[in-house]
Amino acid sequence: MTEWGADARYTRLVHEKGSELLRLAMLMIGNRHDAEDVVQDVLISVAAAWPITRPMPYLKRAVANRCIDVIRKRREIPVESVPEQPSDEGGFLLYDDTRRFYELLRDLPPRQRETLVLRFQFDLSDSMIAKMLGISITTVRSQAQHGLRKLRMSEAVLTVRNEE
Amino acid sequence: MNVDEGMRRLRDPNEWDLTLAPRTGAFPARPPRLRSLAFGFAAAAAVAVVATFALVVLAPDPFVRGPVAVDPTATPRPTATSNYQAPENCRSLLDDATIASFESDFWQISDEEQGDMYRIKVKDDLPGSFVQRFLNFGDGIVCAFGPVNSDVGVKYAYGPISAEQASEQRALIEARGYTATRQGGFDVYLPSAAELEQDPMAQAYAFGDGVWAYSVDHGGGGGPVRYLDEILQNAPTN
Repeated sequence: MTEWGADARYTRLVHEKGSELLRLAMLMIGNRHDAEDVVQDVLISVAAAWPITRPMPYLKRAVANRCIDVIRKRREIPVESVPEQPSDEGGFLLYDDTRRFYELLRDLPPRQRETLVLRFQFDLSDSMIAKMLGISITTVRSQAQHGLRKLRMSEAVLTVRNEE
Repeated sequence: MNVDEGMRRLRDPNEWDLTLAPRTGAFPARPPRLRSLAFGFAAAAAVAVVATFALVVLAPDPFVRGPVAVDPTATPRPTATSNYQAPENCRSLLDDATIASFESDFWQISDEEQGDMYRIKVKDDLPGSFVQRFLNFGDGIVCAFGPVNSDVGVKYAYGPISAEQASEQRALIEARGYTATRQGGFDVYLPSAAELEQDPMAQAYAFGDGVWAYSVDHGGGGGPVRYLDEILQNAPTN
């Protein structure tokens, strides 16, 4: 299998960054199974376009776009025909406090979660997020604000419960 | 934990363990800082030992350790991820001893319609979770390759096929109500709307000159039809 040496840079990139891309996709989609699909599809498309000069920003945007597609497709399916989705309980997070935060984020309304994840995890600008989601920058900011407010309120409730 | 801290932790790879299956039970409390460091070293050492063991002992690579040397003049693969080897090289890659080792070393999936399948997890030489699948049609092993999602199955696969075998397969497929359309040099069989309604994972097939490709079971949703473009784009031509 030494002939893969020609693609050593690609292979190294996947080994070094694959987990990061999977984590990002999981945060966006909230489901590991679909997230693995997304990352693999993106890697296939990147391999076809290889070499790419600055691959990581490209990969992150591609993963984000693909996640958005997956989420949109979910919305297009009539609710009664959607099979029961296995839900991730954050079991891949090592510590319970981080897991609780993940669950708060996961349980936000989809558009709020998407804007927050794209902004704080994918490091995308509001204008880029607006373009990807097909909404205005104002909507991006308001959705992010709503999401942050909900997270802060939920976090405060959790803190009070823990202290009790 | 405030929101900034939560977001920071989600970015921290040390907070994650993607080797774990989702758990639903109690989670460990965060260890104190010193314990965290020691835990990290211990975990890294354990992972290194297990990984080394797995690489050296549990996952023999027939292409590296087997009796068949890689031919440097072989037809190059068209893309890095299709893991395609030219069909004419397929049989020469494997000999009886290697085939026998598949039977003893790897999980064998029994499938009456498609012959015996041997799935092999490929290690460091390919990115991501890739599996090679070998099909035995009774008169020897043929190769079929495809990227997969962890353990859920191959998206699509290719293999050489004789005219006789192709004819048999096509008859079986047509008997199930599939109709061929010509696309990209292949006769493509797509499941009918009725069949898809009954079975969202119904397969798609493509027959070329001495080669066939098919999409196979895929647990990620969406069904195999969505890979048709990839099949046609990456499929080998003899």
